[in-house]
Amino acid sequence: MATKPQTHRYVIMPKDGFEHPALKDALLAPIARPVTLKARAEGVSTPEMRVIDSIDDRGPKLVETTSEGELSLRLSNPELKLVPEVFYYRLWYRPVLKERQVVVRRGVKSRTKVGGRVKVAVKAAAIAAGTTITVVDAKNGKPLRGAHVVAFTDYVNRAGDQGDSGANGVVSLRSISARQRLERVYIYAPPGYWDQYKADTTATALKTVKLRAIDLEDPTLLLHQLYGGLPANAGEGVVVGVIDSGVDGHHPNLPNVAGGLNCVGDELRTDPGAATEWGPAKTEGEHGTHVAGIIGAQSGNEQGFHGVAPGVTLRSYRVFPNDGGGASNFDIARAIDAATREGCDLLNMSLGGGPADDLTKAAIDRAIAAGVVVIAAAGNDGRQPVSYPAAFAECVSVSAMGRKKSFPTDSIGTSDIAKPTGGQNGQDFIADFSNIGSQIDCTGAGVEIVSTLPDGGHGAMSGTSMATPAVTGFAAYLLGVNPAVKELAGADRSRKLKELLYASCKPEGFGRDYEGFGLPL
Amino acid sequence: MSERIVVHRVTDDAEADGEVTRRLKNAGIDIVEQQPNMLLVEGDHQAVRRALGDIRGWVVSPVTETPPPRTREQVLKKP
Repeated sequence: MATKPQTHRYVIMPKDGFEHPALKDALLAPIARPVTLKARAEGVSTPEMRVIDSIDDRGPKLVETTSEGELSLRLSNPELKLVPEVFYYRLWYRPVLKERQVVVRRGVKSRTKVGGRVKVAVKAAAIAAGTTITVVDAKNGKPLRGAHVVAFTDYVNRAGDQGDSGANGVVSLRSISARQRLERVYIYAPPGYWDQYKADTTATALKTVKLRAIDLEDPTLLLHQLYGGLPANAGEGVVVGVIDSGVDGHHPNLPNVAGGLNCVGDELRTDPGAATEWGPAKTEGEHGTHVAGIIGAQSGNEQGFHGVAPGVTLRSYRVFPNDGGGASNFDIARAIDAATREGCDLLNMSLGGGPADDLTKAAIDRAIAAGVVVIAAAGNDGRQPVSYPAAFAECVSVSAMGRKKSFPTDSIGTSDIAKPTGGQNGQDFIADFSNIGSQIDCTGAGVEIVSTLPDGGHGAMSGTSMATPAVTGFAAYLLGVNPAVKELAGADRSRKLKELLYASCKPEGFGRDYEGFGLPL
Repeated sequence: MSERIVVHRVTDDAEADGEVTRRLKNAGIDIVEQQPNMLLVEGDHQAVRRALGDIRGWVVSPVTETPPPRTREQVLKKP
């Protein structure tokens, strides 16, 4: 028996202000019986909505509908927004008595009486020190330098050891014994190779890890499967700003990086000449180059790899500092303002995790008022609420999906496979790490995505950070082939492009909070 | 207590930034950096608010930080 879709209550209100003529629509008059809404896509059920209450003729309406109904309303009323009905409670503090949990652990116990309570100390059994794993090329057996091995003895508590391979391919793990059980082992490959994942193993069993080289022209790579059919000039005439850790403009696949700005205030205030240092940050700087490649890498003569929209012009706005620290809201706002001023049509923000912040929101509002579309990553906290800035209604918020068989079965992507599954033959999934929620607008390819790395390399990475540029690249393609939208100005342009993007999304069957409108194709 | 704070524009009809600068300087607030739509200042939060008074279209926000993107698992403690 088919289950009836769950309904939710929403407030429908204008995008700006409190009243709007569109709210006077007969469809939105409070009546007892439900009204039928348009199906938002082929093959999607026709949702119903009940208008419960109205503050004013042209003012906000309280409605009850399903998630499909919410999406249908958003698509057919771009000048309005839907906000979930929320409730506030008295701020009482009422202590809750928790039952004391008894934890049984292996080890040597000792009991001490402290102030009438019994304190149990657990002394861990001594662990033999040190083991090694050797990382080699699967084809020729040559040792590989630069692999990063993370071995967890206890994944939930993130306990274990990690290390990097030297020139001899050997990784030393000093806190783990050779036969100790390893719950999970992540082998992050050097550029050019697939990473690898092992569960429930030991260092002895692993001993030598053989990494396979990535074939950049492999048609099963997810970006190739989804967007390989787009023209080589997709996104031509469109400028995309990458607000990230910097982009390597010397990469052979990224000749379309036209410039940028180092927005890190602490670096600029020390040395104003540092403004031109928009390349990769000195610590963990590869992220921005990977993101840029997904959006718009171009096939070189020797390397067949390309991004979603190779015709775009890319600009790099570096907000992550050279020392590996976080990005301040002042620097992010500076980047958004600069990118808007310098003519970017789209902004890719594969970052998040800070608090909701008025400054970032004000900068995003200015960008949207100038006709820009801001696309942001939902976050990688494992089914947690969407992080900011993606959680701002003004951003296009992107979750991460993957496809089985688009990466090797022993790669780290295997550990990201989780329910719900969808797509053709149930091969697609929303990545285990992806945040979800009512703010998700669409999903993007974000598991084991091969793209560019600094110094001319390539590699696979996973995250909503990768899903976001896949969506940005597709939005750039849409803008490039819709000159009428490109000619619009201000917020109308931003709104129209978002509508185009949402209308292009194909529901994968994951559910509203996982995929929003679906996967842009 | 002195701290870094951002004073930023939130409306199109906001007072000109010159007026914001004048008020902050008059109150002895240290301006660390000035951008067209925002100023990074150092001073006591209440003193900054008092200096701005009822100025139109500008608000005060704390400096916040977004962590660097992490795309790799990390060991947090030894076994």
